[in-house]
Amino acid sequence: MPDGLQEDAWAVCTIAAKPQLALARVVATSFRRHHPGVPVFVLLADRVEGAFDPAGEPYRLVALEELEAPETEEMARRYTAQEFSYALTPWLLQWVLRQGFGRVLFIKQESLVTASLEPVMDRLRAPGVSLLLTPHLLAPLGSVARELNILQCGTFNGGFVAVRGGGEGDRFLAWWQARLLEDCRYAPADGLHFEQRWLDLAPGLLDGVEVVRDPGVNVGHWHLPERKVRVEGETIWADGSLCRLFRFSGFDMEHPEKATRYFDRLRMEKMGDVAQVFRRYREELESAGYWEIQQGRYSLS
Amino acid sequence: MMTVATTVANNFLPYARVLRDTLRQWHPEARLIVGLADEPVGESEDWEWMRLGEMGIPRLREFCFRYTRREMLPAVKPFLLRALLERGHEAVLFLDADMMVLGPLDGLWERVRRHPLTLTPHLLGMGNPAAVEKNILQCGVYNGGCVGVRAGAGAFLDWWRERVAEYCRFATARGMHFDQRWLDYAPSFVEGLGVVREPGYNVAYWNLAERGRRAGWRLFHFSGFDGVAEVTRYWPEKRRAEMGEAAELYVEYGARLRAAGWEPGQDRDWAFDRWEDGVLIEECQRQRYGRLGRGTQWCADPFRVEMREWLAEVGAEADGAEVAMWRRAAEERLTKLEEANELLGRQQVELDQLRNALAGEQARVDWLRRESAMYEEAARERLRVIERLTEPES
Repeated sequence: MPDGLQEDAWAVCTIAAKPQLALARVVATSFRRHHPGVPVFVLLADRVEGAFDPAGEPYRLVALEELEAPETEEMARRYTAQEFSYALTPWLLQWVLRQGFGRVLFIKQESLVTASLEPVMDRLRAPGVSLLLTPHLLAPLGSVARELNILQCGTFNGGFVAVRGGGEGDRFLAWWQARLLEDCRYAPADGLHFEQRWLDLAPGLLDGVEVVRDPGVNVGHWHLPERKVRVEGETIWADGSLCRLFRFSGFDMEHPEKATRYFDRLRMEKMGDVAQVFRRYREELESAGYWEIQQGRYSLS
Repeated sequence: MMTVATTVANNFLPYARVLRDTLRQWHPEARLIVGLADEPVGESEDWEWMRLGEMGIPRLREFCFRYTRREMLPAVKPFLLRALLERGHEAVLFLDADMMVLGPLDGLWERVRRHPLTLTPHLLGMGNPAAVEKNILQCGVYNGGCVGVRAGAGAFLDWWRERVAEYCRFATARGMHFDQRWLDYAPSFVEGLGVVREPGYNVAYWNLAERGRRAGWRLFHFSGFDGVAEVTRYWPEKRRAEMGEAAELYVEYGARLRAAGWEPGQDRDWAFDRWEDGVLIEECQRQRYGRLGRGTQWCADPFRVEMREWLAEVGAEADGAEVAMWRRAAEERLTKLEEANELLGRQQVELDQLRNALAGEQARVDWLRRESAMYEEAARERLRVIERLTEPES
């Protein structure tokens, strides 16, 4: 274990390729606002190739080679940029644990941390708990089509995965890696949806899966507008709970009037306070250099 | 007192009898309630019946028409369980009729009484082949054959029965597998869900490898055992000989079923097999009816001949939309395959180029080796000449 680290310490991590660097910066800066002492790691699922200076970034950059996982070279060839980035999740989680952290939180790249996640991570300190997952839904939507759609995507959202190292947590990561070597694919008719559908099996496969049923953690388009979002100054509430993590899956800066590029259902003008959160996110992305950095080209295709 | 419930159509009566007998063997006190997805045939049975009309299924005639027998049996389940809770049962353990109790179920029953909803995952460990797990992802993480409910499960059951009232289809590509895939939402919707990870419960062909020895099995599930397939109609190639200790159990189960009134090839009529004029209802007619949704509501009793004529008339259009969807999916898959093939072709070309380059390099290295050997030989020869010339004359 490196100097000064304790088993109780935790870290946060995310994954990005060069075109999404601004997103990773926003994850890092918004996270650090609420957790000044917790390290942030960003795995670059890409090559730097002089496009930016890692030393100037608000996080510690992890290069692919540092994973010391030769199988990822094959994966880079096999997968598209998106598949590759998602597939690397368990490798990064394992790498962070190996740096000597007792617990690790993965947050998917298109996210804004809006309050401390410490109380959520505390759940990993309870005896027997080794994995935290957040469901897309905490209650039925009333729409069969949307519920069926989520069944095809996976009932847990892959944008928030927290693991405690040792025992079951490590075994889970090894199993997830074995599956994502080849089956991090988008094939809903075959029961696959990138890395995410595999998570549905977790409550059966291991002890100590804790389902985080807190409406303030991992708020995203899948349960909007049903989950009620209210903004009071800097504070965001979701169904009366303090919103700690807001997600912007599929948000497209070129089309800020829509919450996500995946469908047309949610348009900003009808979204009340949610629109303010998206505006805040847009501003953060802009000050993180979104328009400049997104010109970056993915180097592994 | 333990309350166990199951559902049958009349062709499943022998299965339910074996379940009853083996349950009584271990739990003489247990109460067994059987939901009937059929019309009563008048054979008296040693259990309590719950008739179709007693379970609170709305628009019952439409419900009976919408589904095949295989679909309707699980679709009845959440209605039965909800009705039993409403009648004051504190807790109920649902077991599929094609199960055999092999040991005491006290541990399972304890769980059922403690959690609002109790489920058994198909798989319990991380040592299974990826192919089995992918199959389970399409069928649902939790097995619908063993479901415990108690007070507190009401809201979940209300939602589940609303979904299976119309969406209890065998259509994995659309995210449905009878009643079962809906259960994947249990950890999302139910606080305090009971997930049974003890290996002895709900042992079946899909999880045999991880369930230890027969001595530890308490509840065995003969899912898909229909007397035609050796093990299960869901996996016709599966042979009993591959099933270790379970092979014997299948033999025993077959004998018990026969003793309980099952005959090879038997398939009794089902009450909802026919149109009112006696013509058999085709499965595709039921599917058309399902696809047309609210459009069919002009007719409260779909078994009427008018419905058959109407379906023939308007149904083709509904089929067309479905066919178009499948065609799109197939075309997308084809495009992806073509892209993959193209990529493979390009990689082959690259590989060939690299091979050629390698062969060139090899030739160069060989030539250099030969050259160097030649020069070495020449140098040695020269050295020998020099040595001779500089030898002191003796």
